[in-house]
Amino acid sequence: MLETTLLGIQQLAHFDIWIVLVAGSLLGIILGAIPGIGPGVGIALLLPVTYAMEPLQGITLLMGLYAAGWYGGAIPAITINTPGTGVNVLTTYDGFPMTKAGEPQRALSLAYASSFFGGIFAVVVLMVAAWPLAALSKYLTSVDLGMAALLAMVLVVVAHRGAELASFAMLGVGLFVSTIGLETAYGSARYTFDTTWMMAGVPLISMILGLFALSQAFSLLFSDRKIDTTETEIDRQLLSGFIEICRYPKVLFRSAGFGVGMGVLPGVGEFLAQFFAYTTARNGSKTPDKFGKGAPEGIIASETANNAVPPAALVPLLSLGIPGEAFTAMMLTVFIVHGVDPGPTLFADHKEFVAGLYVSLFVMNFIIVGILLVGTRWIAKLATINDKLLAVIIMCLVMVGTFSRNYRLSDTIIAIFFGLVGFALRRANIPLVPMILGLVLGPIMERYFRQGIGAAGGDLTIFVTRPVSLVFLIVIILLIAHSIRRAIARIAGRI
Amino acid sequence: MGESEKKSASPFGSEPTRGRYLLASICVIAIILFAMIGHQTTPGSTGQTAMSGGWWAEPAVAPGVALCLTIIAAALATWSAKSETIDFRTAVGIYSRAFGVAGCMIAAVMLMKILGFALAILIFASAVTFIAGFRGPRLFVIPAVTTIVMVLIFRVGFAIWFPRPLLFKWIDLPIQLQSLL
Repeated sequence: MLETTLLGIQQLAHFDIWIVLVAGSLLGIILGAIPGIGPGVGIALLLPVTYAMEPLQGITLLMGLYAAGWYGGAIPAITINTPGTGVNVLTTYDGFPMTKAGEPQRALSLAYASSFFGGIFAVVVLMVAAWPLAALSKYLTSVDLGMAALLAMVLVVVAHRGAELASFAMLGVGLFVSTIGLETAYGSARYTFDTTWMMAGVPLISMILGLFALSQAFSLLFSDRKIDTTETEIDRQLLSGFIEICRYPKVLFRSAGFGVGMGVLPGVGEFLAQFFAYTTARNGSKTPDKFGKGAPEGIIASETANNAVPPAALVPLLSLGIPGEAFTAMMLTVFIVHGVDPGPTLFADHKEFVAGLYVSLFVMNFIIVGILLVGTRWIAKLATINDKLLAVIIMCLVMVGTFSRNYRLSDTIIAIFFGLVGFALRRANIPLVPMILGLVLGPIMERYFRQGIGAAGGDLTIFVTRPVSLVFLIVIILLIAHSIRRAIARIAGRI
Repeated sequence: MGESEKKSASPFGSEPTRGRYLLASICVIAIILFAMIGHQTTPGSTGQTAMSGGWWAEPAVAPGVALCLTIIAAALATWSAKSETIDFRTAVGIYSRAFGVAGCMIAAVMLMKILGFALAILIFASAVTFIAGFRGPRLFVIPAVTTIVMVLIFRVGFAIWFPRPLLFKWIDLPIQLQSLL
């Protein structure tokens, strides 16, 4: 552990890592603080930029956006009762009443301090858990890893409660699109329609930019969100929360535990983590009636849980090479572009990268808090930016981002196509995340299953004779059976 | 539940709305693609023939499985969704504007090769600003500021190269200005 920390600190000696740390943190806060944008759009837009960077710089930049986005999202949630990102919804419950009671800086300070605790706690867990898990994963075969990828997908689908069937359909679409092009093992052309430009497959970056950024820009262009221009007085006394949170150690540790636990599990993420943390904090409180009316424990629970998720979400990505949600799936593409194989070999072959990432994530939380302590009063004003104006800027960024990759019109057309598809799906509330996971995990899963089944000579009993694979298979079957039962009950209740 | 509430209620319970027709379309497209699987998954260029690498290595397996999953899930989702009413006039209005923006984007990329980076961005931003409903001075200020920001990010900041536009072959501009615009 000491060796890792020292190796990581050594990575911080590079000046460019500090640039990406500050840039990622600042951009993440800004994008999080503007309702309707969020870190997902930022990650998609910056993805082409990170391909030109070293893996550590690229991943650190994206992690900065991811982690800082949740910090920034708390600002409009507290000041104008509009969560900056979807995961800050519960922060509005107690944050805004506190603002109405004339204590916005107390609410913001509590949110920053709790987020900081959650972030640091999760980085420590990542440092402790990822390495042993990766060591264990050395003993996993291709069949086990393929089944783990399948389990991750099923978990993500099942997490979309009420829309499991639509999620499965989107997963199928993502998996299908990932098979288009010249398949690498045998050089077989699949769904290329005899065109040369389809041989390389559908470009991932154009798809991600289209699905995440352009579709969001279309939504913003046609949105009719009423902008609350009420000015909230925020002074610079934002440090008190760091002392106040110490009065609630149980809430802090329990919420951070929920965040880490849910972050590690694919598909579960921030929403369920904050829900469990908030409910448990309310049930365990001596004054549960204060929840929803400005209870400090409410802010602490939701913000600690939210911010513990991003570093924890890296555990399955780094140790198994399997992303659990859309953001880490996008990050996986950075590894793929650089030929770095996340999983068991990462810890042996790229020690400096792993150590550098740990220390960067640790330092990032300090940088984010530093920026927030200084700049909250200006950042809070960003929530009043017109949605349509943001749409114009995002569209220009997407256009240049897709075209400048290869100077091909086809890349932009693909982004536009997926942008329109994503827009239609967003309007219908059909989840996009399973599609992204299918796109990124599809080729990985196909490779593992081909290797595994090939090694067994085509014998499918390999899935039940390998203990790890059998356990994953049982969990998958149980999850699918449970969601079918739930769907039938829902339909039956409607008839 | 009032009539208007019933109309706007989600077909999937509390979650998706207006998704029934979309999922039905996805299902139909997936069926068409599945019907083409024999033609669209040709044997490999490395001397592979049918089943020579084992059934698991057949090029049709992965897309076939993905399409089957899509067809079954989309069909079930369509069937299980609540009936819904669509305001076609509103939908056509929104999507036609979205397609208009998409067309502008394609035209702007094509214009980049003729007019250059900055002018293409300026024209595209002006069109989108107009479609977005901005009028008056903002119709000029927003595209101008957006263009300056884009030039600063991509041409000055990242120094990204773009193909030399035709315009610069006709108009003789200083090299520094050409590399910016």
